[in-house]
Amino acid sequence: MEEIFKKDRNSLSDEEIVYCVLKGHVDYFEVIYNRYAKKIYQKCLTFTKNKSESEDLLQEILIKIFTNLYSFRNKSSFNTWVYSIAHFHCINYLKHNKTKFQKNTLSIEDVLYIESEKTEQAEGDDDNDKFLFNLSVEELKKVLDLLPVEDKAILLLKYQDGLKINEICEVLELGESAVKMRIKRAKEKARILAQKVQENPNFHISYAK
Amino acid sequence: MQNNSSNNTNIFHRLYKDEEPSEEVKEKVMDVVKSSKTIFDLFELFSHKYFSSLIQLIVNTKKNKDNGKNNH
Repeated sequence: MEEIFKKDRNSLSDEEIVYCVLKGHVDYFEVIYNRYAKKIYQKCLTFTKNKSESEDLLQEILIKIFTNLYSFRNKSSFNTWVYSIAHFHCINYLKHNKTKFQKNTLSIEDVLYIESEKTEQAEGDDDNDKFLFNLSVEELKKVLDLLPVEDKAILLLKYQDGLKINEICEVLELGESAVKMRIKRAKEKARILAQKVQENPNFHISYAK
Repeated sequence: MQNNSSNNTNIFHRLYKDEEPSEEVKEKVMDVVKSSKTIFDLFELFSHKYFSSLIQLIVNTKKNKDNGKNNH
């Protein structure tokens, strides 16, 4: 019996657990479940705000992770690979249920309005960070709800999943400057929306028909 | 504005911090995982190529069974 199977499975790294599962010890997948399920579920909740849908999404994501384990090649960290699968699964779910989540999407006109306003109000990136992290949980929930999906998703990769810039580059298959620019713009939009939410807690976007 | 700067926890981690998935999800996932054991042994002998399709088959079969039970 290999040395690795004599160790306490909870002390093994993610990559070692993957090795064990791929060696046919499928029950080791429970460790992956225990390490990631709660975080993925909370990510799904941020997107759907619905417990039952989030549980369905979580189940699908974990089975997808399991069925694709053999394709994990250690090119990126397992952590990045897992969040990448969760990220795209949630985005696809939202795209396929567009009508249901349409209320969460800003219209082009709204975005342009924000962009034009941004030029007057723009602050440094550090100021946007401070502002974002000083929001209350309820304010942040509302801001994320108002943000376009792509902006919300990239902020979640960075701040909720804790991925580094180079890891987000791997997930989104974009260059470093493009990722940094997207995060910066998302934070600027979030800041402007947060100011509106703080001025008026009932603030909502009026949609173009 | 409510100031949370005194709290060092990342605010994004506090969004749904008390929410956890039900045990039922874990049971369902591990059920599929364990059901694949035989396929895992087989695919050691053959190829990884068909693995995803075979697991998907298990998932679909289980879903159909569950639907069948719910309809009775």
